[in-house]
Amino acid sequence: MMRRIPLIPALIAGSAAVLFAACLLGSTPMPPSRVLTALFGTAAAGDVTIVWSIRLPRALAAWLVGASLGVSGAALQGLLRNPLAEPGILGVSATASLLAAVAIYYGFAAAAVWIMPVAAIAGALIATALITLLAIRVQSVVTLILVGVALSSFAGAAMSLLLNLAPNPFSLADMINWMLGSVANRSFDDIALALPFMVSGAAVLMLTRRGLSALTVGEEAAAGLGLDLQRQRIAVVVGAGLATGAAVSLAGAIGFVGIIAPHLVRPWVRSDPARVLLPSALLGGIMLVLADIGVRLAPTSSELKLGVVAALVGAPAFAWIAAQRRGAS
Amino acid sequence: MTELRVRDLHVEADGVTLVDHVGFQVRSGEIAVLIGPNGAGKSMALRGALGLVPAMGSVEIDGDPVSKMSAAERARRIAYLPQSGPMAWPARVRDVVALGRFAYGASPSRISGEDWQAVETALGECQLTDLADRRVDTLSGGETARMHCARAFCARTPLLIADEPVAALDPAQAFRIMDLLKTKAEAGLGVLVVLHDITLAARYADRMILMSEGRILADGPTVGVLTPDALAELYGIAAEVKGREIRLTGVLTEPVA
Repeated sequence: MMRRIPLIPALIAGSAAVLFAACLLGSTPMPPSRVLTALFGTAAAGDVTIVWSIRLPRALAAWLVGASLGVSGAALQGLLRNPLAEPGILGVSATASLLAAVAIYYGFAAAAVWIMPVAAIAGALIATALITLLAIRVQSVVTLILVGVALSSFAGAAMSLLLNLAPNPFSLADMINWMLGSVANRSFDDIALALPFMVSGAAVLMLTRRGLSALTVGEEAAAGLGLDLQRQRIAVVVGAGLATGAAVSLAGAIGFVGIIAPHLVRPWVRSDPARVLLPSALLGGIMLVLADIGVRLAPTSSELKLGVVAALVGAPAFAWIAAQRRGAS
Repeated sequence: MTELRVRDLHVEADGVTLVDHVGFQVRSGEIAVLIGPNGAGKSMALRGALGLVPAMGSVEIDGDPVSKMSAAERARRIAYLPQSGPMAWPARVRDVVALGRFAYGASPSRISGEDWQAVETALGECQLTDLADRRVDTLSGGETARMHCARAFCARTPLLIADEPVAALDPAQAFRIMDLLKTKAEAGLGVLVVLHDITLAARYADRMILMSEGRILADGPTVGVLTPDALAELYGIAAEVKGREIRLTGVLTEPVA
């Protein structure tokens, strides 16, 4: 029986397993014993550097980005009552990427390491603030989605404009790297900058979970049940904005994790939007660490970008989920 | 004895008057049926009374203004079943019914004690015990309607407002839903229900409220309010009325109003 398997402990164990596997694999294969000594004991300086400075922070960054996108997607799907929603749908990812690209374009990013991440988070917060202001004024979720689409398109157009006008090939390459999405060369310092936003965003989303359950019966019925609709909308948008902005600041634009993880989890939790949140975060983390291991092991001359691989796998899955929907409006 | 008292309720949208200074009451132990043609403002009047849309006027439950209550406070005193749309997810019947306990702090994933008891009782009352673990997308229309009734009943509110709970149901299922509401009303629940089926309304209503073009045309005991003239004015239809027996005979060519 599916429900007999304790889902959350299994996903936590899975997360630990893939993070450990990510430390084993790479251009210098290391046996488990060497990785364990490097992690917890005294090992050769080279091993410690490989594990602590290169592989573990990279894997952890992938996991955190996947988890943030997974929980944001699950919460947005609950709010919008639509399994195709994801952080990208509200234009949050796109606006975050845009501001990061602006920071690169004008050379701010070169001034200090923290400027680009902060720009990305600022972009996400601008997008969420816009959406939040709108959520207070309009009743319709469809309107909210359409504004998100418009915001995405606008950010995409502005991004193309920046690429078009890029002053030199170096900033062009930087911006393209950002748009493709990657966790290569991330350090614990990068993680420390993004983590507080991810954690606070996820915490806000966890607080909304009862309201997400109520929304199963529809917005008006949920309001009748005693849900404060405006507050629920604002909390989900702010929580998803913080978590998504931080994810973009760490890895650039990576799509589809926020759609696929909740979709896979849903049948295991009786389709209750409240119970989808935590497992979606864990599974999103696992998926992105696995994808990043794939990126690192792929025998290509120039490195594959994580966001490209995520999209290559994610887009067909997205189409499949969309095609499977029946009846729902 | 609980009473919902709505006075001078007025709802506008974009300068158009949808509900025009109406007043009505819902009291414990009676079924009040609100009827009127499409677009009469029935649903909007209910939403306005519940504070779900911006509205002017005064709405009180036993003298307490609804506008001063939090959403959860209001939901503990008055249950509301809007016209039901599709479910977002293939949830289980028991989980949907359990949402009726939302205003008490419970949720489908966290339900125990009194909340659990209320859910089980409501499932039993609505003959859903055997269907409790079914997915909602496998239910028939009648079963779905009973599930929503159970969701409202398990909130254990003194008042219930239901907007077309028998829409699109066959006559047997419609009777079943109305019988459930009647049983609860006899046990003390105050029910306000919107219906489009006039014969069904006449059969179950203790009181009828007739609404047209945002206004209330008549409000009173079923026998007395439901007259051929009233039905002609409301719907432009010809009818023969004998007590609670109503026979609709056709459309009037010349609207009386």
